[in-house]
Amino acid sequence: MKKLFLLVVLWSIMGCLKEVELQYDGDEQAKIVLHGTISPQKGVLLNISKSIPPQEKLDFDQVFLNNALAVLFQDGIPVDTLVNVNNSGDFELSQNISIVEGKEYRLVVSAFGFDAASVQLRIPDSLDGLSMSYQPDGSDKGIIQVSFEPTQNELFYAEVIGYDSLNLVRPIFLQESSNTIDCPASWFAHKYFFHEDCLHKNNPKIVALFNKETIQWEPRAIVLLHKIKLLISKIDPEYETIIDFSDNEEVGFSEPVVIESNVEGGYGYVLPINPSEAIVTF
Amino acid sequence: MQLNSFFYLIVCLVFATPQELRAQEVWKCSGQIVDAATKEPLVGANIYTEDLQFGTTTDEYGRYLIQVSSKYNKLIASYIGYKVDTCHNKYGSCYFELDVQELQEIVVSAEKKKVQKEIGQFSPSMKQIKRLPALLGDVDIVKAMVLLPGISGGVEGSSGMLVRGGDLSHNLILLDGTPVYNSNHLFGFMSSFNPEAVKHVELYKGGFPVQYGGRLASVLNITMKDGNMQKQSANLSIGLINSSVVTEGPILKNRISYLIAGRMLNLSPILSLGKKSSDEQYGYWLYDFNSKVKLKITPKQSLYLSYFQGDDSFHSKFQETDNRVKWGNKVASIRYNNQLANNVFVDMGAYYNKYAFGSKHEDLFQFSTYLFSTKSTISDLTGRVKVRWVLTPKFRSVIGGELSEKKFTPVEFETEELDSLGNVSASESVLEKIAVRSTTGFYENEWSPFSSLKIRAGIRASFYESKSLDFNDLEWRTSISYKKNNQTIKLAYDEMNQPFHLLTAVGSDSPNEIWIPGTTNVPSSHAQQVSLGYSKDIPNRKLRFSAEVYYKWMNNLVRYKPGSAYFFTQKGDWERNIIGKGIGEAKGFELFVNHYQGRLTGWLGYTLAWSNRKYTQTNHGNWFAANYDRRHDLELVLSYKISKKWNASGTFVWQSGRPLTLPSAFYLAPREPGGVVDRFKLVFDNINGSRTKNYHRLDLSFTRKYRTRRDREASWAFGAYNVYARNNPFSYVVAINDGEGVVSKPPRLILLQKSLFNIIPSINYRLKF
Repeated sequence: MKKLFLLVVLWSIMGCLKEVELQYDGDEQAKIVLHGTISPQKGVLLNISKSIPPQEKLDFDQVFLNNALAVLFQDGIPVDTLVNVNNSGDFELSQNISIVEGKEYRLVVSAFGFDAASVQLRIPDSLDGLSMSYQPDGSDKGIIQVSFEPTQNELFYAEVIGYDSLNLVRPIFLQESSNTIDCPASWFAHKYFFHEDCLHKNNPKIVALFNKETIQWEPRAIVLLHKIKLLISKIDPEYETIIDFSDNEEVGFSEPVVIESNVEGGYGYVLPINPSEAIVTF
Repeated sequence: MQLNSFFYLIVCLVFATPQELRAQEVWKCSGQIVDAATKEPLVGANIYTEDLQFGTTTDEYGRYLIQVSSKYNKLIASYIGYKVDTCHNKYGSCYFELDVQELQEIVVSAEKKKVQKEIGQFSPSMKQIKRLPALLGDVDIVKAMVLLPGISGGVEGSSGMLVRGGDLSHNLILLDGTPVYNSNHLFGFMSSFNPEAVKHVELYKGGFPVQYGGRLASVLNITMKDGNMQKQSANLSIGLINSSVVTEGPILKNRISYLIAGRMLNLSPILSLGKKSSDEQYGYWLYDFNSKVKLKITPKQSLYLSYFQGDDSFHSKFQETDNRVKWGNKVASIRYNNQLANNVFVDMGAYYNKYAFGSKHEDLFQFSTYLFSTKSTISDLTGRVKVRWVLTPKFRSVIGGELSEKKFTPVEFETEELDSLGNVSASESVLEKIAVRSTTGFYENEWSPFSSLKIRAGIRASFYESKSLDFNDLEWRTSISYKKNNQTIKLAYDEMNQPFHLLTAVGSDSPNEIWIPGTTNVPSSHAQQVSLGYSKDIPNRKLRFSAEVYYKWMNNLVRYKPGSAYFFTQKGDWERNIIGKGIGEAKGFELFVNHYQGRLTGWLGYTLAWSNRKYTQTNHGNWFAANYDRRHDLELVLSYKISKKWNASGTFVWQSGRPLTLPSAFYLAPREPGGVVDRFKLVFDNINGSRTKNYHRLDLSFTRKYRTRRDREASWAFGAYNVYARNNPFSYVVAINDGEGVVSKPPRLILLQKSLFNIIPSINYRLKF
């Protein structure tokens, strides 16, 4: 009887989840979507696809614009027409062209039935004096110290890759010790963003410290490493917003983000990077 | 009139002194109006001369100060539901003890002579509120307020209150004069205030008295009962899912009284239904506890001690993951008041309150345990004093001040990793505390050059000091009202500041509230409001009609940065995850028709409103609709006395849809720069650019009152919420339907509407003994 009563109460307070018609008050047309990086190290890596308006369905055979025309301009002069390298919308430089730091580049992409999309960007300067060292403390523990000459009001993007004999690992920034950075900002996979004001208070050259013992390999088994590679590049702060949302959207707590894109006439984000590299071995 | 001239006029009014009026021969009178049976002070009772040339109302202690011309020889006291009483003592205090009046006719005459409430102010009686149909039969004060024009609720069933385009955090909610930072139970479906322990409710949405400040949109002042000074009594209320008990009585007859009230609810048995596996468990409980002691030191001096505590706890366990969320308030206060003379009243006191919200997450792995806990708190220690005095029959003033220290902990975050032996193998913690000290002073004059004209002008100044920032706020408030032949017209200008902010993530159904202090990047929010109102009483038809228009401008508003949310604030960089310096605009028209006497009573409220926001850092810098902007809002509330024993009540609500952010497209994107494009990304290019379905609902309730065999008052209430079972929108989820792997169903955007309730029957039993 008690259960019956509770069931009645449960039924009455239960609502429902149902699909309703998506009524978007706009005339959204499909646009060109660009994603990729431009760097002196790897040249241009670009993916070209199209967006899907609210009432349309995605067709994987049609979504990538493999026949798009993508032209790269350097300081206003066309220097290359990118070539499609597979059926998944990936494009690369057709020639061996050097991407130079400090130069202005523009990518213009056009495809039949779409408005042209373009990206204007500048390759950032590389970091000066990047170094990384390992300081054993006499036990199994040790500190990995990373330093470079920081510049003011910059956002950095760091990719930290640890190697053991078999696997890549994901190191964790320390926060509890007084001689570590204050705010490592957000991490995304094994990549990190941090701001110049997160630098060490007493020694502004130190940008990150890792404790070997806390370097872990998922799922949480401690492994011994023999090498860590660090890539750091200055990046555009807007990009962090995109990554923040990507990191958080699955959590379900965040508010919708109005997409910030550096693609004029389309969507996506093409990131200019110029990573400096340092490697430390134990 | 130029702005400078306008402020000059306010300054003159604020600092005016009524020299020319002091010479008049006057009758100075003060005192208290109480219930004759319980000696419970009556808040908002009227005291006036027979020709209504002079009149005032009692304060939260049931006290009044009045001066009238010496030509009058009696004062009349009235309160709805009580017999009228008169006083002829021209040389001392008038202490009124009003008897409950059962005869309708005399009540009507009392109401006819009532001193009219100010436009922009509502104070529905607790009797009216208790007659309203309620969700699960549980009467809710905040939900009752939402049925008034200019005030709308949050999502379905919630106890949130949005006043004149403000946000949920823009309301100053006071319990016996002490702010309550979170007034919600049950994820917002119940307010924290036990209606059985509440004596009086008063809401201001404009024309704010200067003693109230610190919020932008409204003041909800809830006064608890003091406790019966004459005899022990108790109220028992048993509902479908929660029960409450209130006990009160004298500790020392006519000198010391007490009141203790408690409510509790345990939803765990319902949530556990059908969950036989120990791998999946859910639990929810809540309680609140009120206590109050009143010491009547002398007829003119009283001391009050109050304590309130309420907590909610939700627990879920699924396989190896254990989650707990807990939030609650603690409020303690001491107040002393003294009527120094027949025209001076002093009220002073101190309070401490604390709101804490925390969560714990535990993951059990084969060889280790991962613990993650968060906590956010705000606490407030404040001392204050307020002095009211009446200089002449036409001039009265209020002056006072507050000293306060607020402590914010926006972020308290801890992770621990335990090995199989329970030893901590790794830990991490972030704790940030910010203290803000403030000093506030206020002064207000009210001048009635003629009996039909009343001018009020006041100033409120606050100085804030914290480790990182010192700042001050100045607020001017003024109103002018003209009353003639049962008609009143009122113009009010108010300035309000809010020196701290509440962050809530809109996309979440779960509590995630974080209070943060004003900082250099996000200073005090500020609002200016102009309102113009007209009201008319039609006594022979027992009707009261009022209409108001308002325009409000807000700046320095705060919200989460796009893409940020509660979890990001846990990383010790909360200030980086918010955007400030937003501006807001709200305007509207409100209509209220109240049939206040007879077998059929109730009101019709209608609001036409706009509320918009603009931040340079989001929505491409364009204006967008505020989260709960509703164009039309209609409420019809009726109560019909069928017989001496039976009463029927009904509520109908119709509201336009609220804003909703829908995607304009989706595309494939990489998980990381240069990576493979293998995940869907939604394009939101217009915040709150769409609307949900319209909302409408009908609630009914029937109450039967009777006396038990032992001659005790008892009642049964039967009701239904959402009588015609409309599936009103609670929240929406935008998803990409990938056909669950079925190739013939290509991915597309879909919109899922979540509705909370079907028809909800309720039953409630009340017993007074």
